[in-house]
Amino acid sequence: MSTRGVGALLMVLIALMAIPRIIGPSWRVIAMPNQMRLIEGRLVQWESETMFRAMKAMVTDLPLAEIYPPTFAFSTDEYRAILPIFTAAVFTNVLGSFFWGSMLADLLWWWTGAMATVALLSRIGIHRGVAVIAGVFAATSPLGVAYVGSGNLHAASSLCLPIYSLLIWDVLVAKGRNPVSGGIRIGVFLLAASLTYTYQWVLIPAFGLWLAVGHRCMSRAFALLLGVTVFGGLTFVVRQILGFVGLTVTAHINDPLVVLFGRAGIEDGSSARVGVALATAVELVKHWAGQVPSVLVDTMWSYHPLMIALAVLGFASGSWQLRCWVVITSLIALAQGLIYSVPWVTMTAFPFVYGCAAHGVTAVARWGSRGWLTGEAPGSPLVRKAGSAVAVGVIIVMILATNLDLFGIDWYVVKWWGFWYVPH
Amino acid sequence: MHFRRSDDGWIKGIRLYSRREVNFIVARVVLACVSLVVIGCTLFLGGRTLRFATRTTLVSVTIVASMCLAFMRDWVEVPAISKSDAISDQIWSITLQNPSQVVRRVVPRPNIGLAATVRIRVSLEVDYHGPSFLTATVRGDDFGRMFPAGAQRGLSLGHDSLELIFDSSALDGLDFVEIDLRQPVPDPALRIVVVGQSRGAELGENSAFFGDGFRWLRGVPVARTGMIVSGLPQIWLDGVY
Repeated sequence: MSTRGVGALLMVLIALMAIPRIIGPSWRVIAMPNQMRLIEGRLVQWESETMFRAMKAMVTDLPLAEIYPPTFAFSTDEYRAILPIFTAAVFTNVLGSFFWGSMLADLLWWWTGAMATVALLSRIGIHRGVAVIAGVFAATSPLGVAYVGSGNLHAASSLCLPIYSLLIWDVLVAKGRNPVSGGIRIGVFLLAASLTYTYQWVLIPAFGLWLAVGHRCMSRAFALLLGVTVFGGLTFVVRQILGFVGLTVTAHINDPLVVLFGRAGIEDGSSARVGVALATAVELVKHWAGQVPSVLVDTMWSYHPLMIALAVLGFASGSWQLRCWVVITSLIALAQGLIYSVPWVTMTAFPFVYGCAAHGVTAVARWGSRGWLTGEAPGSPLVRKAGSAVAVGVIIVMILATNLDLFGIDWYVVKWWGFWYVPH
Repeated sequence: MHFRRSDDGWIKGIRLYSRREVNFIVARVVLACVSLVVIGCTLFLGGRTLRFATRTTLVSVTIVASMCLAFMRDWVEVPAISKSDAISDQIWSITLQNPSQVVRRVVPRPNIGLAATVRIRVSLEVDYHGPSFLTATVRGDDFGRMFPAGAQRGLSLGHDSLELIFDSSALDGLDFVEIDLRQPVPDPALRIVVVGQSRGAELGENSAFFGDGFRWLRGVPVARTGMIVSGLPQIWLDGVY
């Protein structure tokens, strides 16, 4: 299938996933009706107020003090989503609607993320067809579906990991690239990642660990290290500029470091409290270790047990690079999940888990077609057609498994939002 | 010639900006520029990841879009974000018009872990500072009046939601909890937010009832028509930790 064909397929799938949740009830409305607000006659989640506020700052002539009164500072929640907010502001200008501007921004980033999933998996040695199946899983994933229609641009943020992974991957594996040039590029990409979501926290250790098992690791390690340094420098400059014009970034309650310190009992992040926390590190490790089983269960439900089963099945037939990536990113996702066990965090390894699951689809298709057509030779046209039919069937089952709300069956929606769900 | 700026910033048809407004204009440009520069650099530095044609198109679109941001702002109407709308069929608010009217919400008993107390929360359309109040009855027992959120704990969490904290032992043995709310003193300014669908609720359409003093009706009144329809008043129960 050509790149255009893949793009069109994923676009159609995303439209099928998104439109019913935009014009009908979104997952948020179903799971958390008590959190809803109204904008332009549409229901959105209360957190979207933060995003709309930043969009106002970009789009309108309202005075700064009106948008950001003293009690509502420019927060890390807005800072880490500047790029999706900017995209939404641009669409708002074109469409004249804040709601539809944010919806289009969600869809654009969602689609780009699904396309990047296909490209990334192709780069790491997965057969193109299998990568496309993984792209289909990303396009129909709860990571996008759960947020679309909520107005908080989280669909855009959650799907951006493969975009930046792909960009950094290409820099690191490019032959003959000057490591200094590569480092600068990586720094910019990490900055962009930090302004789209908080995936720089994942990308740095993931690529660092991957280097340890890769080839020619010294020059790549230098490029990555330089990239991290450039990222730190650029972040400092950007924050200084924002602070200079009155948009000092203040820690939001959902900022990863605030959450980490909060979970560790370091309420104010001061060195004294850090010392106290270090003194109780053993207790913390024991506490977190005790949570591993529940986080693993949460992770399983975030993807859906059938998806995990397919991924386990496909793990063996993936390339060594895919196996390496899925292990590394799953460990990072587990570590994050121990701190903040929400589905979008426990699904941090999603491009690679979906890659393994796509391999699982092909494995099931192979076995299934042979089972049906026992008298046929393995490579015969009939077996191949039967295999394709089985693969399509499995893919449809996987899509339906997490999207039954389209048919009025809502239990998975409630299950997915379990961490925040208040029974109602 | 000496100009003095009027209070509203206008003088003889010339718009003058205050220092605060100038700061804001700079801030807006900086926000857009930071975004543009980061996106632009990412696209240009993408190397072989992005084909040249794709890159050029994306960068061109980004630049044009940014020009739109800079020069075409005035026609965008800034929408209000509200908790409800009287003419909406998705989310509206209701008030209890006489002391005999009751809103009943049936919720599953929440998993409150080790919390010794629980609370009923009610979301109001807007801040309420008037003379009226809501009273809550749980499993038939009158728990008295509700308070602005946080007031029972010495906190000030605003006046657009009410809460009532009570001992969790009141829920012992219950799988589902019936919460009845009454308003002894009628006041149309005290309005409970209602979401116009009941998907996701464990009891579905049996999650909310309206008592008019004579009978129980399944659902809640719509502000626009007065008809009783399926919906969920924003009333819930959770643990206090």
